[in-house]
Amino acid sequence: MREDEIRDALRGERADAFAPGFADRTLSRWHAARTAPLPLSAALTRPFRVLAPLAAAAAIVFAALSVRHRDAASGQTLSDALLGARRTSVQPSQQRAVTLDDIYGLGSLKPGAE
Amino acid sequence: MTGMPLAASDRELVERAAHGDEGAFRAIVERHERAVARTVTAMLGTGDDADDAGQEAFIRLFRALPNFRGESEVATYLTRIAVNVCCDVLERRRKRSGWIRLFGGDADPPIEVDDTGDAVETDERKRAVRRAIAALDAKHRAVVVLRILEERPTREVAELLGVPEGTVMSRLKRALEKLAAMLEKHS
Repeated sequence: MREDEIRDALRGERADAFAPGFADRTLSRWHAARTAPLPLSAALTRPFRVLAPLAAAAAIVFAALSVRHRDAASGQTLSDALLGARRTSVQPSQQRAVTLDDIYGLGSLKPGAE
Repeated sequence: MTGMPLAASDRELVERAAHGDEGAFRAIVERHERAVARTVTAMLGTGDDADDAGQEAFIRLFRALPNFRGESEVATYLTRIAVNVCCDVLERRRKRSGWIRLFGGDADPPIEVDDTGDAVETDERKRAVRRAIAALDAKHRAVVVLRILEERPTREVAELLGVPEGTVMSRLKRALEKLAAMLEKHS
């Protein structure tokens, strides 16, 4: 394959200028691009790119702190600590059934009622 | 009218355009339109796609102006952008023709050939060469256009494409082999 043959073929194909009014078309496109509102996806993407790494870093720090201060004595597992969940227990003497009346009944409106 | 003195250098125009001077931007477009047209139409053929790619190249240049540090000439920087835009267009064409073929259609040839030219234009061999070049993928076609048609030195082509010189040489060799194979099949 000779290079001059390629050159010859491509020279006949290419144009030395765009259609008349190219600068005007480019300028009007530039204006349109400047005045067009930012697409929602772009508007959301920019803050996401900034905030996502910060949020991920904060989550890792909080998880590490939670694991470090894990309360193993109360039976808190590692996964509970990672999620920041605490294990609570209710003494059997404090246990009682909760009824709908306790929650929605008129008694719940009394001052001091739970 | 641009209102720009003819002697204003590219650097001056870039400086003004970067600060939103529309006249300076227009002057840059008018000054470099022909060079961009030659590269873009060699890559994409003449037609709407080429015009669109040319506009896109200048729009991208304008967006990049605040970051333009003047390490290279405006013309070089613009050519690099134009080649990238053309590669994007060629990639889209390739995907589109892939989908058309997948659904049993007849994909259009990826280059628009003007059949209204003179006798040279209708020469069968040249048309075959053009069709073969049109069938090359974007990275090989870019090397063929910049290195062979525009006769740029290998170092400059490497700079424009952002690849090492060795890669330019190997792409050129591969492109020539592909073209030879396609034309062999044709003949």
